[in-house]
Amino acid sequence: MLNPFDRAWLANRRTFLGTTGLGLGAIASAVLNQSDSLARPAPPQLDQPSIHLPNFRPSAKRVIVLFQSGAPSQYETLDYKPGLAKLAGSELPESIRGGQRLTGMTSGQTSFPVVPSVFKFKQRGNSGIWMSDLLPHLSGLADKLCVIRSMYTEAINHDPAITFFQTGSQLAGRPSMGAWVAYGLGSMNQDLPNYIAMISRGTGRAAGQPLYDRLWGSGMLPGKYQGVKLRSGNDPILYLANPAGCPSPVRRRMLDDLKTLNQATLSRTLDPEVATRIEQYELAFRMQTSVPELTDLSQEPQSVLERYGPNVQLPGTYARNCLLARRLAERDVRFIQLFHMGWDQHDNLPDHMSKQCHDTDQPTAALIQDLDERGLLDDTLVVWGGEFGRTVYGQGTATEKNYGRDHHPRCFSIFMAGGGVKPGTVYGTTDDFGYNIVENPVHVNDLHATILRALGLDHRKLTTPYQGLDLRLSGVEERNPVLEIFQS
Amino acid sequence: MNIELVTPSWKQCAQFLSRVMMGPIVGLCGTTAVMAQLPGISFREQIQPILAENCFSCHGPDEHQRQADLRLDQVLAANSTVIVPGKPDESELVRRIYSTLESEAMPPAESNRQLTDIQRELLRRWIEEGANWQQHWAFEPIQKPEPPQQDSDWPKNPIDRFVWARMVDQNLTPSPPADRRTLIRRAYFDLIGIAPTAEQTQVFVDDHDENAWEKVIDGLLASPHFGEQMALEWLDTARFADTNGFQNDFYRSMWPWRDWVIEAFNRNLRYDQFIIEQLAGDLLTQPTNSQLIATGFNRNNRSVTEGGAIEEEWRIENCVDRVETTAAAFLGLTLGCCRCHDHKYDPISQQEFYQFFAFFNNIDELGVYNETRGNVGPVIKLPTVEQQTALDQLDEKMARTKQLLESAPDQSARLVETWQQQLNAELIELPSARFQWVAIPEKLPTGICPVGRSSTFPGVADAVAPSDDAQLQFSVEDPFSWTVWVHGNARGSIFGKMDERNEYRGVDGILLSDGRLKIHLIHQWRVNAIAVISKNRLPADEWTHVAVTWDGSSKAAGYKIYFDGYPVEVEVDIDTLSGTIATDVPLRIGQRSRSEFFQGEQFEFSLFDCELTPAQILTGLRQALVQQFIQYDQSPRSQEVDHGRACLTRYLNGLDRQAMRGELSELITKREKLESELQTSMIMRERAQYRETFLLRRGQYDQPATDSALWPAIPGVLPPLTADQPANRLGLARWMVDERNPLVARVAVNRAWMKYLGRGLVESVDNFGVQGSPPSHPLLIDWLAREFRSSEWNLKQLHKLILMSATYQQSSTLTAERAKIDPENRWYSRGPRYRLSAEQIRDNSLALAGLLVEKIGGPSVRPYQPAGLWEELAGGANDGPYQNDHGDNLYRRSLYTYRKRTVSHPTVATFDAPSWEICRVNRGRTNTPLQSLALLNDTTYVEAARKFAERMLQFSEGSIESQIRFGFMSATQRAPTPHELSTLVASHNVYQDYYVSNSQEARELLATGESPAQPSLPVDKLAAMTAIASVLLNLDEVITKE
Repeated sequence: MLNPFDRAWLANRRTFLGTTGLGLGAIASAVLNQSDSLARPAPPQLDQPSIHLPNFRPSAKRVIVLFQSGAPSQYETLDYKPGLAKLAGSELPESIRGGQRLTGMTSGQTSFPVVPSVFKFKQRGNSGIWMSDLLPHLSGLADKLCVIRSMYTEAINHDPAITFFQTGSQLAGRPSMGAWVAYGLGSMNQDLPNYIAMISRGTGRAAGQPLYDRLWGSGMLPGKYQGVKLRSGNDPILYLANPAGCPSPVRRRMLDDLKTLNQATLSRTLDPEVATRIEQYELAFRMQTSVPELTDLSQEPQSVLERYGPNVQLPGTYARNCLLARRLAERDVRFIQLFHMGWDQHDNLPDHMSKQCHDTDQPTAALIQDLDERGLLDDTLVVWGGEFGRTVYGQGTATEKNYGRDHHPRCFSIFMAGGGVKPGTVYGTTDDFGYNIVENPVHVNDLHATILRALGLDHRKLTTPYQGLDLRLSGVEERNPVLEIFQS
Repeated sequence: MNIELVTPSWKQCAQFLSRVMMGPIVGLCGTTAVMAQLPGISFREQIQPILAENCFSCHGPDEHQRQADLRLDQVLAANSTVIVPGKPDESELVRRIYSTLESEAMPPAESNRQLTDIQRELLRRWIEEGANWQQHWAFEPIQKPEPPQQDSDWPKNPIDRFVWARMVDQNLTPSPPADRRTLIRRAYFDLIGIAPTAEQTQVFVDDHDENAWEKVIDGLLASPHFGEQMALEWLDTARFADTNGFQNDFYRSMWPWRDWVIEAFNRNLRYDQFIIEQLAGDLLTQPTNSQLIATGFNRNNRSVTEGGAIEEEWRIENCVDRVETTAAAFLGLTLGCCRCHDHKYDPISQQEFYQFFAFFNNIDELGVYNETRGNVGPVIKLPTVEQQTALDQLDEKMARTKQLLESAPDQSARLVETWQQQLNAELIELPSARFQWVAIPEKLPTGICPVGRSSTFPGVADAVAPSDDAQLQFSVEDPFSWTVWVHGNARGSIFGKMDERNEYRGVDGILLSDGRLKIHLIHQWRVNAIAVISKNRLPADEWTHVAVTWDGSSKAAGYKIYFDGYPVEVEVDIDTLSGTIATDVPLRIGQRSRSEFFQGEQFEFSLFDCELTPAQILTGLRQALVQQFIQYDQSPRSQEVDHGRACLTRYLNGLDRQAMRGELSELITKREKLESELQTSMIMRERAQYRETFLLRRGQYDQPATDSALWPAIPGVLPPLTADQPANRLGLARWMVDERNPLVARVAVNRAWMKYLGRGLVESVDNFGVQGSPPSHPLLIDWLAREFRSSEWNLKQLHKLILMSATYQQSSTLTAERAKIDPENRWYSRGPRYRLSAEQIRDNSLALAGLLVEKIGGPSVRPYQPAGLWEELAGGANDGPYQNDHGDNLYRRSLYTYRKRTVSHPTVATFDAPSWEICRVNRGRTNTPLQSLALLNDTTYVEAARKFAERMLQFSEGSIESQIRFGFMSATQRAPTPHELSTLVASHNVYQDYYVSNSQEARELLATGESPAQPSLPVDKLAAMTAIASVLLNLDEVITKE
């Protein structure tokens, strides 16, 4: 399967092969000497939408998704419900619950007592967005954020809901967001993968929800579009390092021989795949330099490191990954995805949420600020959020100081920053219980459409044929980007 | 646009049209002029693709999306003005497609679809010619075409005649035959997944026998590794893996099914049988174990074990997965589309989807196996020979012991007499019961227990009314006891005063499914509770007197269990109780408030508000037995008295033979332990009680359209089940292989064709529907399908047919001309050239290294994998860190590499192996820098390189040149050119110089992987040759089938 650009390339290549009256050797060397033999043309200019993809003018060049896996509670972060304090412990009215299906974990519960947030909220910045005390650093950046309080999803358990958020379908096997974007837009970077995923473990819930390769997979799109996991150990990308006892000069000579011998194969077979392979070995070699350079923080000023907090010194933490995200953005990696585990507060929510927010608040704010100071926030869309929300009622035994909340697909809150979205704004409203959306609902597939829109892509047109359908990230139902959140 | 042509008579037209399409833009007049010279238009090949692509989404089979009540996927009514046959100018369709008015132009602008001038003209011409309409080709019966006759000596068998004809149409000629070295290499990879050795190649090169090639093919088809290579491909389709997928992704062991597949291919099981056994082996008359294992095909789907998931939702997903997989694997149809709405392109409705779904909706399984590890039911047990012997021996011993128990002389009178004396000698005061439940014969059927009439509980809710005694409360601080007679075959809650809706607060006593007694005191389940389980099981088929006492201490140690008057050993499961156990729900006999419904017999549940002493329990029991014994003695004979006496006597004798009973129960425990160690495999099984199927609105599990139940049926566009085909999975399987089925044989031969030629005759191998690609060689696919069926579905014969064709044996070298006319090799004017599969690349490297272990079958293995991959993702519910195996298991074929669905093994995943979460009928073939890094740096390949280097060094002592030549030939099956050889030799000398002065690095390189380096070889030489071997393993030519 080819992406639109590959198709264009192939068409050119065929024309080229077809129209020149050159001998085979000449064709082979011409193929080899093409600078774009990465099976991809020069990346399209940001302001020049490809004729193959009817595009809009993009407001973002790249995307950073800060995925909070396990689902943070909106009640303790972004959706302030002052009325709940008075109702503490009272039964959630059936009119609000409205026959909502429950997970197997609370379906045995006979009582659904309302639990207000134990954390205080304040209006922040000039925009006056209500944010909780759990997010002090992000609160300082309220005027940069665009909060959406009316997200909703279809799934009620983690695996399907996370899969849905990342791939637009609850079932496994579909391409992830980043893969779609890589497929649609290609790379802006010659030395690094186009789509990078990073993982960190939260301190809030020791045995948090697992993640799965499919979340950054390419589904039925070609494997080259899948996210590359950037790991915290010595080999940030699998198999990046030469084996022990194979120093760089030896390796370089091996690669030179490979190239010489593969060129002979290309001359013999004229198979463009050979040309691609030769180029991939060179890119692999470049990655052996570019990736360590990416993960080497020795040149980062102390002031920057401090901004991300002490955990930035620890590889594999959310703070470190946030700093790496900025460095990846600087290097024009198109799609950068963080996964932070540990948000699943069925019990001990106040304690565990404090820890999770402590993990993430400062580094997230530092990333946004850092991008902003470098002029990168203008064309980098940052998205923060989890796979669903949590219930207004307590799970298990709730006391004033300690409680838990179950899964709630009907509404949850996320925020965005940069990439052309209106700063200091709030979109969407939930009812006084924070249980149902009363204004401007945003389905997860609408969010997909919105992210694509920021990149200048029409979610209806970014498709791939699959099982007789034009499969798309935003699913089969009619979905729409939230245009209101973009700066005009 | 592709213009499809069937017969040579189309040649002229084709050339003309190609010119039109490839040349500069041609104006409409020009096009019309072109058309005027053309022979008749083919609906199927020229018109239907245009309609399907551009019109069906609004004017197709999907009733809900359909606009203007117009359907263009069926022949229109005779009086329609949309298409007036022969009169394009009166046809609304023509007017609309040529209209420049935005409001009426078709397709509308917002559809993002646009017709080309040629397409418009084709539609117009088609109407002019009478608008003849045909059904989609794949739904038509398979034709019986004759191979075209040609004046050419190129064809070796009928396949080539069809291919030749199409090549001629395209102005192509076949490529010359591949040289023998390339050819044998190609066949080895295709059939057994690794390259031939230098010797095997040489034998073929030197074999001038006319049937040299056929000998190679026959040999490979007979190899046991043929089954492995075939299985590798089938396993993608069958989404086989070693874990459940989804959140917990626990281990399951379905490898017996995988081994069944290998064996089925190796013994050349007829393909119709291959289908029937996998779809419905369990429904065959007296199915063999092998046929039952085969049905694991449709148990390979992922299954949910996540706590809190909704049962029905995931049971439905299981069914949907089976529908999608079955349809894709055998029918080449994309039924999944119709789950939520009518198919947009194929004439299949949502209702038909659920009728097909109904074939799979009666499986005896759960949607959610809450936090369950391992295989989940239904399963088949697969004892080894040794295990079976041990089981048989145990069974025999058990039978003997039972017989001894039965046949020993009656000791009951002697026992009663002894007890009577004891009871008279020592007076022990017995408390009276606070509450006693006595059977009500009108409510429940009665039986006989040793001391009276028992009640038989049916295992359903509310068999008896709850106690109305509101004062009846349990409290942690207050001692209590209860006694009851229960039959050993009973299961469920003997009694309960427990509120499941409030974290299970309360008290109960449950007979577990294995016959052990479990007693609870719960404040909040698991975190604040006591749970105690008897170590012994109640003896099956026998009555037991059970007593339980509580001392009011709040510790599990204060909770005691007595069987037949004597304390038994217990296991403490939970001991965390601190809160109250009081609850308002009433005490109930035979259930908790709403679960664990008792099934079986019990008698005389008695509750005491004190802790009974051991002496009190024994005395109470003996008193009752003695009284009953005397009562029977004094009663006139009747049937009931006789039964009662027999029961009592049996019980008393049982007590007398405690030792023998203990032995029996030990044997039972042993047997159960052995049973639990048996290998199992998940299989299909129908539920006893038929589950009705309903259409699910929008595909949602909780929105069934219950107004009308749907029966299993085949979509109407295909031939229906016949009378001898039952409306169940077996009927479905038989229908699949029925002569009338137009799809199954075509799909199968297409897949075989793709395996060898690299692309299908129908390129969309997963979709034979209207949106799929039309066949490039419609006659050939039908001819092959016919051949296949008439050969009695002989797979090996089909493969051999393709392999023996001149088409397969062509050189894959591209020429400038072919690149121009046929860049994608659609017309097969050259042999296939593409990258090997992930498994082939690794297995071949291991083979070159001399490391490959050829063992077939068995549990999956764990070769090298970079550390940390599982831990990074798993949240703790998982299998812990990945630990690679050692020894042979590191070098098994990649087919056997452990498949964890949520964390793919990178050695295979990097080269496009799927994650086996859903059915995939073809893999991508990408070319990425991560592949380069893997082949250069993965321990697997570094180790393979150094072991390959050892083989090179050991090949001939002395000449570097001859050693490298040997390595090159082993890897490519050909001699290196002088330039290639000199390049490698020159580098070798550089490496050697380096490693001579850096021997520590040489040693480090040679320490990669677990196999020891050959100690007799100098490290510098070996390290230098390792670098050469690594280059060889990375060569494009070596990882490519040419």
